[in-house]
Amino acid sequence: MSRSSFLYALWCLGVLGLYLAAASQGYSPFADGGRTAGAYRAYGPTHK
Amino acid sequence: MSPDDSSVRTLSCPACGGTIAMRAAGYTVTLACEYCGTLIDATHPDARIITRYHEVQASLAIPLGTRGKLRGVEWEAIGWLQRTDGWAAWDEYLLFNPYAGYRWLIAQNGHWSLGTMLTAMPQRDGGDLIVGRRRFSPFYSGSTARVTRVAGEFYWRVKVGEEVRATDYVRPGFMLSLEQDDREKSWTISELLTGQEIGAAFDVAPPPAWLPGMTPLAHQPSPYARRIKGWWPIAVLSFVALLVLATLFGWTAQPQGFSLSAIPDGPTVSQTFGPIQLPLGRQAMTVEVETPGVEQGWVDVDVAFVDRKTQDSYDAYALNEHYSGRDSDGYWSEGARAQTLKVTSLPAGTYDLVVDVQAHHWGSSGSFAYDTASGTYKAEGLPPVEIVLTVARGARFASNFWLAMLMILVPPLLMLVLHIMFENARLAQKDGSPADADDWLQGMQSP
Repeated sequence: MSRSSFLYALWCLGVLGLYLAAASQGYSPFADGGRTAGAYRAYGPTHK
Repeated sequence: MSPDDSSVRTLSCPACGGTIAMRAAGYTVTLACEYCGTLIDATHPDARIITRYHEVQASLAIPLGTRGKLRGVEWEAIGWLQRTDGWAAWDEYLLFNPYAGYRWLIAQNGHWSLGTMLTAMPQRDGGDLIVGRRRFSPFYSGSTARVTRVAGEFYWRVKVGEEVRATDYVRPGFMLSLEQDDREKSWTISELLTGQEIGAAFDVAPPPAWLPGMTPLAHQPSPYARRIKGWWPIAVLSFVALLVLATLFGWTAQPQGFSLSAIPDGPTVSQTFGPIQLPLGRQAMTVEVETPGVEQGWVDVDVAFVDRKTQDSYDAYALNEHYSGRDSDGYWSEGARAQTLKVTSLPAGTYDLVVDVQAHHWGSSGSFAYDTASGTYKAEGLPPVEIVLTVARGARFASNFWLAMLMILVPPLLMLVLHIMFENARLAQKDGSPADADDWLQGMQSP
């Protein structure tokens, strides 16, 4: 395995580790919880 | 017959009187004085002057007379010439070994290639040429290479201004060159050397790394193709591992159902449900909010998980709405009567689910009354909207999966972009027909 492949494999392991950590902690940066403050709310149909 | 070391002899420069060593006596027909640069006819008994140079002696990357071991053979640099085809200039060093003969060391843009003259014609296959098992595609054609400077010994009478017609064929790491004039044709195959190889042999600087904007050599292999080929199995393995992790995590469990109702344009309804026990460390919660009866209106649903012990609140918001009607195109409807909320990283504890609901009506159906408090007309007599909540422990975040996928793919995609830029710059130099799919596929080959 070349050095660049080794480094890329390390990168992928890091990403999988982060995914595992987020999954075990029930975390997502795009979750609904906590995102409502200041969110713009639009009502009514948009049909024309 | 090959000369031995005793064939080295000296002669005096007829121009400056300097003593010149002739290293390949018996083969050398011209050599240049290392002191004054005068080109001398070595076959003439009195070492006749061919051309007198008044330029400053070239500052050579490999001084003539330098010996270096390359591919297991010790070579001595005995001649140097500089050539140009009008677009690019390059240096050619003639290497000599009494037992192995001659080789060329070609330097261009800091890259070095080892050239070996062929003794047999390459085989032709369509427009390509084949030498051994290597297939070469046409690259440069119809260029004229002209000698601009020369020093040292050669096996033919070299003079400045000497021209040959050159045609080049390439494959990654190799160039096959045909040089011909009115008298002869010669084929040379040159192989690009690694910086480590040429540095160890002749102590020259390593070739520069390619950067966007630089022009690569015609036979320079893309450094990114090798990485892409080495990385894609790792990317596939990572993708499989990610799928396994996504399957193992993200299940929901122990769903609990709650319901309440709100009158359209009526007051906000607040209700607290619970307790909800979270025994494990941090975990996500999924809340499905359904409003099956909402029509021509919307429902604001604020949910908050409030820790009974710390009063910390984890909030989320859903907007359920549904509208429909009929126009010239027929029936239409829009909106969603159900939403799924995912709340992240709730610590273990006992929680209350606090729900605030406000239902609204849109449009002119029903009866309206003026509300002095808000200064608006509000619907009256509409049936209440039921809100059904299903709360479950755990959540599956597709966004995490796609974010991880993106992070896994970014490095290979970056390499792919750089590879395309590299090959674009390389193939832009190609003569004749424009680069086609075969040229691009060839760029992915290993040397």
